[in-house]
Amino acid sequence: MKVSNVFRLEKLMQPMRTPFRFFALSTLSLVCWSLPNTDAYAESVKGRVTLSESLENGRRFPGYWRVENGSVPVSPAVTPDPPVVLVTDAKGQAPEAKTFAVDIAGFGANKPTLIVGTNSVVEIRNGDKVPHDLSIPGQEALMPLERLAPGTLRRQKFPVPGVYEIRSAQYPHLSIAVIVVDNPYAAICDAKGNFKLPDMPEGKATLKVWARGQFVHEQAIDVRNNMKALQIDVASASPVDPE
Amino acid sequence: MFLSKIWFILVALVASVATTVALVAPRSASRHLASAEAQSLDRAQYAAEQQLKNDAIRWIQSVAKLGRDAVITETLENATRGNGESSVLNETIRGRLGSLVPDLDSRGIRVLAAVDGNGRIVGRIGEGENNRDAELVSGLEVVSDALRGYMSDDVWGSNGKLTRVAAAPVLSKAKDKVVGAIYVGLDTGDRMVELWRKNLGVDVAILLGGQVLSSSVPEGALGSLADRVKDHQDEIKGAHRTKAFTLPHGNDELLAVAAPFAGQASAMGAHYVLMVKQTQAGGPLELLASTTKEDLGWAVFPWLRLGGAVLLIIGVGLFLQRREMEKPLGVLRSDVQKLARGELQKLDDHKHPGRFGAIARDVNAALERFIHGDGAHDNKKDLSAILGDRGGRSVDLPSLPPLGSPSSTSGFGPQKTPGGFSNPAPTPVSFPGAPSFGPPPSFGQASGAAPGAFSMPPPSGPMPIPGATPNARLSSPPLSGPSRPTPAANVGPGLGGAMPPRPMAAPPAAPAFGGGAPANAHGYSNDGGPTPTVPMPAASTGSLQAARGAMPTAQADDSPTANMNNGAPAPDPDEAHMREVFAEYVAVRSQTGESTRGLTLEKFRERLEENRKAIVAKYNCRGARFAVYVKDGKAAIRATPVKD
Repeated sequence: MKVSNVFRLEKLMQPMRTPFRFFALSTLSLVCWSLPNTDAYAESVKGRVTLSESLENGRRFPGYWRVENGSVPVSPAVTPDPPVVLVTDAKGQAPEAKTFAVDIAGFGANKPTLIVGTNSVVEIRNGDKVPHDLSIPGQEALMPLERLAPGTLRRQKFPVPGVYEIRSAQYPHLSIAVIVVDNPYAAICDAKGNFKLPDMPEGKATLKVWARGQFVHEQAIDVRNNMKALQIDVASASPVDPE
Repeated sequence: MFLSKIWFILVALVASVATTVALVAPRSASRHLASAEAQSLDRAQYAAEQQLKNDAIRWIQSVAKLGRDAVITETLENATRGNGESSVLNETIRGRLGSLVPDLDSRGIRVLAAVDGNGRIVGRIGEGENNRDAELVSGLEVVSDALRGYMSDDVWGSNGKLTRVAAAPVLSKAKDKVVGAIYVGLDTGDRMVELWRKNLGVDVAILLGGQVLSSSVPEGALGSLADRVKDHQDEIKGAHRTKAFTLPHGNDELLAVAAPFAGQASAMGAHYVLMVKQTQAGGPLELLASTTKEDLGWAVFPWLRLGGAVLLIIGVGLFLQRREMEKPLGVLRSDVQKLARGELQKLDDHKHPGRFGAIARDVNAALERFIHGDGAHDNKKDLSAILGDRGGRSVDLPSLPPLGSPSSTSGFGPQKTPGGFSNPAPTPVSFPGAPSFGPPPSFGQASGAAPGAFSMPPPSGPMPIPGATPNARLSSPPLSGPSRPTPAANVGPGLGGAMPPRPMAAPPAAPAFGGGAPANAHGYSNDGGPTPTVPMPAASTGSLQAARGAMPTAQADDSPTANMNNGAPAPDPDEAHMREVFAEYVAVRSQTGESTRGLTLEKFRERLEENRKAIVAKYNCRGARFAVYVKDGKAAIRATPVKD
C-alpha cells in the first residue's frame, strides 16, 4: 500500500515547477503517508484455476466408456462451462439486480453459469422441440418442478444470495448455475482458467471455486498489497501463501 | 456306580450338545445361506456391471463401424457444410441406416440416428424417424463428446424410458476432421430384464425415478423397492452399489442388491436391482420336514456309523450297569441267600463294593442287633421274615412266681393270683402264627404281692459271668433251624465271626406254642403244628455255669442254691437239665433284681415237670427243654419241645 502511494505521488510531482507547489505537495504527501492502512485501499486478486483432467474434459454424468477415435484429435467442448471464482466474507457493493436471458437449445443452455446480484431475474427460453421439466433440486420451494414447453419462457427471481442450479428433470446434464452474490467479487474464468477480482479490500476472506455444478475448491486468502497471483490447482488444492 | 453315573452324565451332555446343535445350527445355517446368497448376488451384480460395460463398448464399436460407411460419411459431410436438401439428406441417411441395420427390434434398438457436425440430426430410424426436422442435439453429452471426437456411451431416462446410448464420431473421408456422429439408443426394459434373469440366474428389476420400469417378479410385490433403494442412497454414492438387503415379497423375503446405471440416468434414480428369494433354514422341525428320501439313503446318511454309535452307547451303559449294579447286586443277593441258608454267619462287606457294602454292613448290624440287642423277639421276627426262617420255635413259659408262695401252686395255668404260674390270658409270643403262652409276666413280679415267697435278696452287684456279656447271652433268643449256625453261637467273642457256627441241637420240627390260640388248661395255646425247637444257646449254658459258680452259697438254708444242693439230683439227663435251668433261673433272677426267696429246686422241678408233661402230651414229643432268658427286665422261661 505504501509503495503504491509513493508511486502515485511521484507521478503527480513530475509537472511541478514551482517550489510552492513542491512544498504543498510534499506536505500532502507526508499527511497521506501518515494515514493508517484502511480497507478503503483496494487491491486486485488474480490467479489461475487449473481443473483436473476429469473436471476439465470430463462429463458431468459419464457413461461406462469414453475413448478417443484414434484418427482425429479430440477438439474442445463446443459449449464451454468455465469455472467461477468468488470471494465470500468480503464486503462490497452488490451487483445491481438485472434480468438475464438463457436460451436452451440442442439440449443445452447457452449460458450454463450466471453471476447475478440479489433480486435478479433469470429468463429461461426453451428453444428445443421437446419440453423441459425445470426446477432447482432441493429448493423446490423457490423454483418448483415445472414443465417448460418448447418455445416458451420461464422467469425465476433470486432474492437471496447463494448458488442455485436449475436442472432439467429428464436431461440432468442440462443445468444452469445461478450464483447470486452480495458483493462484486466473483468472476468467470476464461478459457485458460485465469481470473481477476479487482478492487478487493485488504483483509482476510474466503475464496471458492465453482465448476461442473459444485464447489470444487475453497481456501482462505489474505488480501494485501502486491499479492502474488494465486495458483489454484483443484486436483491438489491447498491454500496458497499470499507472500 | 461311579462309572455308570459318569457315563449317564456323558450321555446327557452329548444329548444336550446334540440338542443345542439341532436348535442352533439352523440359525447358523440361515446366516450362512444368507451370506452365500449375498455373495451370489455380489457376483451377479459384478457380472451385470460387466455385461453393461461389454454391451456399451460393443455398441460403441458398432456405431463407429456404421460411421465409416461411405454414404453416411458423405451425407454428413454435406449436411455439415450445408450442401443439399435436408429432406434428401434425411432420406439418404434413413435408407442407409435401414439397409445396414434392417431389424431394429430384434436387436433391441430403440433409435439409430446420424448427426452432422453442427449437432443436428440429419436422419434417424426407430423412434421419431418420421420427424424430418433437423433437431439440434449437440447439448447431449454423448453427442457432444462424439462431435469432439470421443466414442462414449450414456444412459438416458427421458420420457419414462430407460435408454442405453452409444455414440461415435463420423470422420471425413480424409480422416482429418469430425463431420458428424452416430448414436444408437437401446431398449433397457423387459428385454434386458429377461436376458439378465436368464444369464445371471437372479430376478431383476429396473427402477427409474422411484418407479419400477420392469421386473422379472410381479411388480405389485415390489412396491417398497424404490423406497428401500432410496434408503441406501449414501451407500450407492460411495460404493456404486448396495450391500445385500432384504425385501418383503409376499410371505417370503427377497435378498436384493441395487446398483445405479451409469450416465445421466444415475441422477434420475435409475437403478437395477438383482434379487433372489431368501432361503430360510427354519428350525429343526422344518429341516426335518424338508428332508428327502435321498437325504436318508445309505450312500448319504451314515446309518452304520450312527447305529454303531448308538449300540456302543447302549452297550457301554449296559456293561457299566451290569458291572456296577447288577453283578454286585447278584453277589449280594447270593450272599444274603447264603446267609439265609446259614452258610454264612455274616456278610463280608469288603466283598461288596460301594453301597452294596453299606447294605452288607447294615444287614450285619441288623443281625447283630437282632442277636444281642433289646427287643430281640421283635428283631427275630423281622429277621426271620427276611431270612425266610422256617425253623423251630420255642415257647415262652409264664413267669414263674416265687415257688414258695402259697398261691403259686397252680403251675403254669392261668394265674389267679399274683406270683402264681397261672396266666389269666394267653399272651402271643413274638412269632406270628406261633403259639404263645401269652404275656410274659415275670415270675417274681409278685414278690411284693406275695410276701414271703422267695424272699431272696437281690445281689449287691452285677453277677459276674466270665467270658461272656451277660446281657447278650441272657437276652439272646435262640435262632431256629436245624443246621443254621445260631448267631448266639457267636455271642461269646461277639459277631466277629471268629468262632465257628455251632449247630443247634433242636430238631427242626418242634411244636410251637401260643399265638392267638385259646389257652389250654395250662395256659398254653397252640393253633399251629409242631415247629423246630430252638435250643438254648450254649454260651448261655456256659454262662449259667459261670453264674452258678458265682452264686453266693453262704446264704441261709432257704437259699435256692442250698435247696438245689440239698436235693441231690438224679443222675439222669433230665434232672441235670432241670438243675441247670433252675440254677440259671436263680442266677437270672438275681441279675434282674428279683427275689429268689422260697425258690427251691423241688418246686421248680415240679412246675417244670408239669409243663413238660403237658407239652409232651400236647405235641406228642419226647420231652421238653427249658431255657431261661430275660424278658422285659425279668427272668422268664422258654419251653421247647424235643421230639428225638
